[in-house]
Amino acid sequence: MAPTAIYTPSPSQITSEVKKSLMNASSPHEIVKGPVLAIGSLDTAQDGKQMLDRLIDGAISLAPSNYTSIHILLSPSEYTSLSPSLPSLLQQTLAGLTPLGTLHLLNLTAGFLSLPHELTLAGFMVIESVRDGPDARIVAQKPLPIATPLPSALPIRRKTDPAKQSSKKALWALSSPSTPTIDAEALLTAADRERPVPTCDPVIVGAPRRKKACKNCSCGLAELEAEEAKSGKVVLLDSDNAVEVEAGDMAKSLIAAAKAAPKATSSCGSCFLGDAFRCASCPYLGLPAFNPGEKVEIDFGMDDI
Amino acid sequence: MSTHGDHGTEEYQHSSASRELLILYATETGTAQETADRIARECRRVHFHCRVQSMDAYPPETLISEHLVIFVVSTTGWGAEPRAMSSLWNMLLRSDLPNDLFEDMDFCVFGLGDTAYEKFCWPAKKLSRRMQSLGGYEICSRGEGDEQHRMGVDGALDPWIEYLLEVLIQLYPLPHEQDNIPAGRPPPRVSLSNVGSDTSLNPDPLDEDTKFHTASVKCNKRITAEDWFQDVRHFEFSFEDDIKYNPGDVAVIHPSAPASEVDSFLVTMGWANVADNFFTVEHTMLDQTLPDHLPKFVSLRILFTRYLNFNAVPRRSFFQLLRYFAVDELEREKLDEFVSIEGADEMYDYCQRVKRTIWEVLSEFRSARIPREYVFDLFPPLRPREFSIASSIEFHPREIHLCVAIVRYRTKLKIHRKGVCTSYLSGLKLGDTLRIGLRKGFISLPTDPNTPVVCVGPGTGIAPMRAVIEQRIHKGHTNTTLYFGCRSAHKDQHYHTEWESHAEERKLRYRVACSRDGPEGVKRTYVQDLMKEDAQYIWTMLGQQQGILIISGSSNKMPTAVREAVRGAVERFGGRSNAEAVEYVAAMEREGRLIEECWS
Repeated sequence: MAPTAIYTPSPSQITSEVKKSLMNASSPHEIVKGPVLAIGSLDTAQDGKQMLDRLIDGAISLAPSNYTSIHILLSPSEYTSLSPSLPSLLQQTLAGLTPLGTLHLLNLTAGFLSLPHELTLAGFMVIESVRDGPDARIVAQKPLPIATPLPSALPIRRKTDPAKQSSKKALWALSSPSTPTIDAEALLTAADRERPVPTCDPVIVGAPRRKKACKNCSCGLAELEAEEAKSGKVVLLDSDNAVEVEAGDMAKSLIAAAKAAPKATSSCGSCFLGDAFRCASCPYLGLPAFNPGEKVEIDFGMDDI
Repeated sequence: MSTHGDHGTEEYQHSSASRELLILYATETGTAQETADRIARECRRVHFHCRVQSMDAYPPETLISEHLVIFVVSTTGWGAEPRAMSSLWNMLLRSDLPNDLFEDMDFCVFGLGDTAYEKFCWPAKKLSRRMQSLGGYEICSRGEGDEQHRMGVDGALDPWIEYLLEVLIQLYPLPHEQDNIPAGRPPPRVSLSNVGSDTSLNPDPLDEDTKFHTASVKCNKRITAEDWFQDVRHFEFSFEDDIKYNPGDVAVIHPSAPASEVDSFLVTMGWANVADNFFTVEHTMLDQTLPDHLPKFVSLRILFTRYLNFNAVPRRSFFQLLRYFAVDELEREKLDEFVSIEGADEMYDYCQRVKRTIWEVLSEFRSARIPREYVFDLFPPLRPREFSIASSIEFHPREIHLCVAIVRYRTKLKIHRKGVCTSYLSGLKLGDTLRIGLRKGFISLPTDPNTPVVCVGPGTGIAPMRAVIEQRIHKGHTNTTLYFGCRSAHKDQHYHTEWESHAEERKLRYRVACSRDGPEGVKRTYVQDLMKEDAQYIWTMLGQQQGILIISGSSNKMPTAVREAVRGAVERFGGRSNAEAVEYVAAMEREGRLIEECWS
């Protein structure tokens, strides 16, 4: 799925158990009311796990500066396995928080000593940290935007070492084109490879359509398209007549139909404007715009098939 | 992913003087290029100046000195990277590069793809992972634009840009409060100045580009039956220059729009009276791309004949910009509707689905008064197209042959859709001259005369195969097999007299599948079916004798089916298990014994 903003569950969707623990954990620093995001896991909440994985792998991203607080509630083993992806997750949550918004990491186990350091590196300011007990948690805050940047808000950057730089330049430029290459596909993680599920909205007959039918169409779009192709009409115009003709042997039927031409009438009077302004039942659909009263000619003599 | 915290505690502030970044794009049809331009415009909001370049125009050795790079990468075929990316990508994949090579680079990636395909945005995903593994610091998670989204690529691009700007402002804070750049109509990317009548010294940059050579048309012949639905042409171009190329190499051709169409279009736009006035083009917004090879003096007629494409299918950004120029209330309402989220389906139905062109749209939004300064913002560049060369230079000195299917089809619009470049080619007359460029391909033929070569090239995939076969025969290498696929033996069996004649002289083994010639109701025969019949032979050629296999043509299911046929032969006659046979085929590809030259 293309990354789109995650719409936060409204507070009423958070189950009452989770809500209670959120209330207990809420920090006195929380000063602004606004959308709250809760991220849980299979072990602790209902459907948070997928979101967490997707956030980490960058498959989805949070709407920037959107949440006044984000609460993460995982089981101990999940926190442990989160370690390697922690920088990525922290980056994402930082971006998703409003300035002065808070990140709450709840239900932590004792082994989490490096968390404050990681949070600071990511740009957070740690405002509360409870190491032990059932309430072990860390609360960190996103600083205000930059009029006066706080040094701790910037990631630690390495100064460019000129000696190392020139040796790297050499490595990059002189590496021979015949050097064997790595297997590029091996770079991809399981989440990268996950087959995207194309969104297939139900077909509404007559409504504008985005997609063509897929090869294994199961929603009826393919049948609809086939029907349209068969019964598609062609319109021949002259002066103020419009004649409908079956698609098929174009040249012959057009000439024949021109002779037996009943008048077709427009229901809205905007036919001459062009497809952008024509109604769905306009006999002129597919034809260019024209000036009212003029004869529209299309050279049907060309090879049509 | 590198973690900078491990490298010590030195910090540095980015000076406001270096608010500069590089956007490298790899485009196939122009979408990634337009996306790169858009990102560059948006970066102005955080006071960043961008350099925007195509990956194949960027000097690769300088990548190591870049500090901040945004990669904009399309997906082509069934998950492959665009051609423009291949060279840089292969450099990045070398196995001897250290994992801290790009530790001084901040980067991020925006991919463009289509979730209807399994390998959705794979080139972007692979690039992101590779840059990380080489020490690059990914400043924000990659964006993945999806054509299937209601708003197309913009569905992901719009929020990603906001996210990117947030990150840029955090990482590269402004030293003091700066005014926000107001939203609204962007300034045009050029400034135009009229010139008098003395435009005598106006060299054509294409004439001076040494990668191009002047050719004259020697032959333009239809090789499919006159009553056949597809018009396939055999072209022969002859050159003064002593050009050199190899089988698999590609001809690069810049199309021109037909004079009569340009004339008509200029009338539609109300520019007929000024069409031939000359002016200079000054590139004022340097962070936006311009067409290649623009001469110093141009006129509107020249621009729309050779450099700007009024027959392109516009994207959402076109409608957004057009809105500023529409005067009529009804038209403005309709444009507002089209660019809104709710109107996205309607815009798609109106425009992209039926392949309505810019010209056709403008003839319905007649109140739009487009200042000529904005033509480079509204009209995409007229891109060159590439065609596999269908001849061997040894067989035909100073000549290039092409085998090209002329693109022409119907949508719901009554007027036929046409391919811009193939229409141009189809209209060429004997003696016409044009500039043709050469680009290296990826086929390398064995030097050992005993090594067999198996060619599989259905349809217009026959083009590079003809080059291969001619070259091999010229060298006296006769252990070549051709599997050709077409629909009808009598209507579209391209070059069959040549194959039959080579076969008779024992210089080629020729197998052909004519898919629609079989009786009704019987399953159609394709090249892969012939290969399955010949499984033992395939094993002998490719397995026992370590031959090479070249696949060329349309990159739909055919290459996969051909690989499967080879896999089956390896299993049945090579005594391998199913899994071993799969690995055998993969190994063939890594060793360069399975070459795929397919296009979408």
